[in-house]
Amino acid sequence: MAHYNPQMAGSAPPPNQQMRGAFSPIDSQQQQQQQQFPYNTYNPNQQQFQQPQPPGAQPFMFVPQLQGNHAAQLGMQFAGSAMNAMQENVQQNVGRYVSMSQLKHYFDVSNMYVLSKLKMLVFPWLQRNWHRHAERDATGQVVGFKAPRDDTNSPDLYIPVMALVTYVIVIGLIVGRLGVFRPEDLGYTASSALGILVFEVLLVKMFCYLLNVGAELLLLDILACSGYKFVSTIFVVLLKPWAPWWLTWSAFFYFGFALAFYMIRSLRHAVIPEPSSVTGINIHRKRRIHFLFVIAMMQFFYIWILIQYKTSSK
Amino acid sequence: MFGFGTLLYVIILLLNAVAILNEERFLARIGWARNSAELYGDTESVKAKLINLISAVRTLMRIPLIAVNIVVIAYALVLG
Repeated sequence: MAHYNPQMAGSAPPPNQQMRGAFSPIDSQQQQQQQQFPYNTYNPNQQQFQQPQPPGAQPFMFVPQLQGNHAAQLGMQFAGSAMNAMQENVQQNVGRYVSMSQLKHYFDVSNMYVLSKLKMLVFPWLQRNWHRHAERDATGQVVGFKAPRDDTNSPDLYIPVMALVTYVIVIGLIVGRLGVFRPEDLGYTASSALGILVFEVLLVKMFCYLLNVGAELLLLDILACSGYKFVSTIFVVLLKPWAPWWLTWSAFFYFGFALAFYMIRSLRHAVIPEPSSVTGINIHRKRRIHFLFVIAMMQFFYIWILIQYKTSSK
Repeated sequence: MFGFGTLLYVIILLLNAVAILNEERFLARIGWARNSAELYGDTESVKAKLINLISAVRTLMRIPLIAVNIVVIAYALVLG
């Protein structure tokens, strides 16, 4: 097994360099990872100090000691390279679909943003301006959209995630108040909520493919807009157990309309091209309007499904 | 009711339904074959996109669908 790492047995180079050699071939990406995660790097000096050493054998001690510790070293090597490979794998597979910096952009929220966004979801009629602000770099070039922290109209993923979790817990509470709670109910509720989310995203993606809506509508934007429905659902679900039927139904229709209105207004700029643009893009304009309307009306259906909590626990 | 597993079944069934469409006997007869004469060079319309999608699913998903179907059938036999 010694041939695995011929550098180790040679006269000792500086420890850090030596450790670099101990890993499998390192490209720049891996090197970066090592800097990010310093606990990966294994420092042979530390081990040297832990072991009792006979005095006077300092210069020659290093080599036999390393050989004596071969099992531990190989273990560390394998652990290190396995760790690196795993990280690389995760980065490649996750990074292919969503990039981490992009995700961070969607979670960059502030208290004021969350409050005004919630107000926007409940009273979308009060909102006048629905345009998103463009992010510019130092030279004034547009490099994307501003983060939610600076722009209330920007979609975020913080509210959807929190709303989804809250929705599952609220359903659990209500079912618990009825006295028929089983732990599986939480799982069923989360599964159906996620199922609706995935279904809607797939549907919108399919329409986007058919109608040539390309780069204007990002996958995470769709996910964010789709996730806002849980905020409205929570309000209706909280009313349902104790309010009279007409109040629940009027809340259902009110929040459904608010959500549909919100979806139409916030997706309009991405989906429907301006009337003055090139004629070639306008061939789908009418169809896109219909598609947006259908997506908005589907919100009633989704909310209606989501407030049915009794079906999961018979 | 609308859970994740149901959604998975629905997607697999729809993919199967697309994959068994026959190019010569069915798609060509209704003008939905890949190289229909009237669609030549037209990639923008909804119909062209649908045809493209169907033929892509038919070519790409045929082999993986066999494996996926076998797994689902085994699962449904044992645990369903």
